[in-house]
Amino acid sequence: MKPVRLKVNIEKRLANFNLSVQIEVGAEILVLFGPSGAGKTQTLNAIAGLTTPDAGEITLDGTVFFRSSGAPNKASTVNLPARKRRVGYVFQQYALFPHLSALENVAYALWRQPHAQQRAKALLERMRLAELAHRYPHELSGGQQQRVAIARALAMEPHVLLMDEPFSALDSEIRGRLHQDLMKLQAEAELIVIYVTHSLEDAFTVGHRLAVVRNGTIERIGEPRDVYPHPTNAAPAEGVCDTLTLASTQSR
Amino acid sequence: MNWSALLLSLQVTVVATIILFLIGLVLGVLLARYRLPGQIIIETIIFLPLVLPPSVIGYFLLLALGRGSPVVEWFHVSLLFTWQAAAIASAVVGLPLMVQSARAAIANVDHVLENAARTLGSSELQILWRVTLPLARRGVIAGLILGGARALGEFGATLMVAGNIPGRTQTLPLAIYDAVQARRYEQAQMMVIVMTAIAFVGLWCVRQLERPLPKRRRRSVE
Repeated sequence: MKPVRLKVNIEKRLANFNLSVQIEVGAEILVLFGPSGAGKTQTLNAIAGLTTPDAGEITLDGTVFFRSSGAPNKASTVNLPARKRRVGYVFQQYALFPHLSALENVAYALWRQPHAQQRAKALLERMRLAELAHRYPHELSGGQQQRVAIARALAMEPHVLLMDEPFSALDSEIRGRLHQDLMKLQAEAELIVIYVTHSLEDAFTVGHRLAVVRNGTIERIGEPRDVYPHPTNAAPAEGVCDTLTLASTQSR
Repeated sequence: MNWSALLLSLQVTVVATIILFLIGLVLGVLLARYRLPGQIIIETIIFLPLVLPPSVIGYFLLLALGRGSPVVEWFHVSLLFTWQAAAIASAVVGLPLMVQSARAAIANVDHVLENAARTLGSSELQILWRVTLPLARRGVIAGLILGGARALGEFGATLMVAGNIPGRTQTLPLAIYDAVQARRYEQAQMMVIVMTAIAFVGLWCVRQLERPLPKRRRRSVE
């Protein structure tokens, strides 16, 4: 089977800067790394269909998510609605439906589909949550909630999984285990994963490739070791120092 | 006790509440979620019945339902001096309370949850039905009770469009007025007690709905 590729080439005018992102992602974990407000979340939202770029193109192999016609009236612009893109999205603050149990959250995307309950149960089991299926989100810890959120996104069998600082509110031990889960999932399902973070440690742990985002553009992209040759060094490659400072001051 | 007036009042209130639910919900969603052209004007018109004298609302309703109005010309239904007209009048005065409460509750639902539902394949209507309304239900129910209680107490506009025909359009508030006019104080007193009791229970329910939920437990053990 030919590997699926997500191609993003978009422009969008934002309040403080212009977003201009060109990336191509295959079955891998691409980390978007940079300070808050650099345009990372905007990029994810554009891919998911939650915001509309001003110009450009987003395609997943033959499927056009977005293609601007270039015409000023946007008449022939293609803009596939979010619900038809089948792009999994894991949000920073979990965003589980508070009125639904863990199982019902996972089964959400399987509405009126055959065997929804069994499929949702299988996903929860895969995320080691089987015994918590009937708990409500407020009865779960942060790490458990985020695992439910991942299972919920995977229920519709997406090719693409977007993660916006998914584990930033969790302590480092739980984060480490969730990172292992994620890498296993990605390899098994050959998922295209775009993982947004402002933690360089996270970026190095999960990233097959690393893209540094700043002021709406991709400053550098490549394998983590090539982008930041000595990330733990006190005097690292140029640009790392201030990025790290920014990241630490802006993390909650 | 004037039983026919009580029954008629309940009938009028139930129909008015159904109208409130349908129209109030649509308006609540539109006002909470979309920037409409002329939004302020629309909101102001919806809220006018809160401050206008009942006679003015009654006058407008006479224009809307009376001879020469689209309702009569197109549908050939004459609603004036029927209990249906009383239900419409009651719904109009209850609408601001319903819209205000429903709109606030819907606006309070976290946008991220609706976005999550979008990425999970839901259409806008499904999101409303499966996410937004279940999460806003307390406010919607509170608005319905408030609007319904106001509808139950409607007097002035009802008098103008439905009249005061015992057994046909005479609701409880009108029957109380008649009883007092005729110096049937004991009968009036009984109806006053019933009205007050219903209103008290309704407002008590709204207070319960508005109370914050008990502090949510959080399990920190992974």
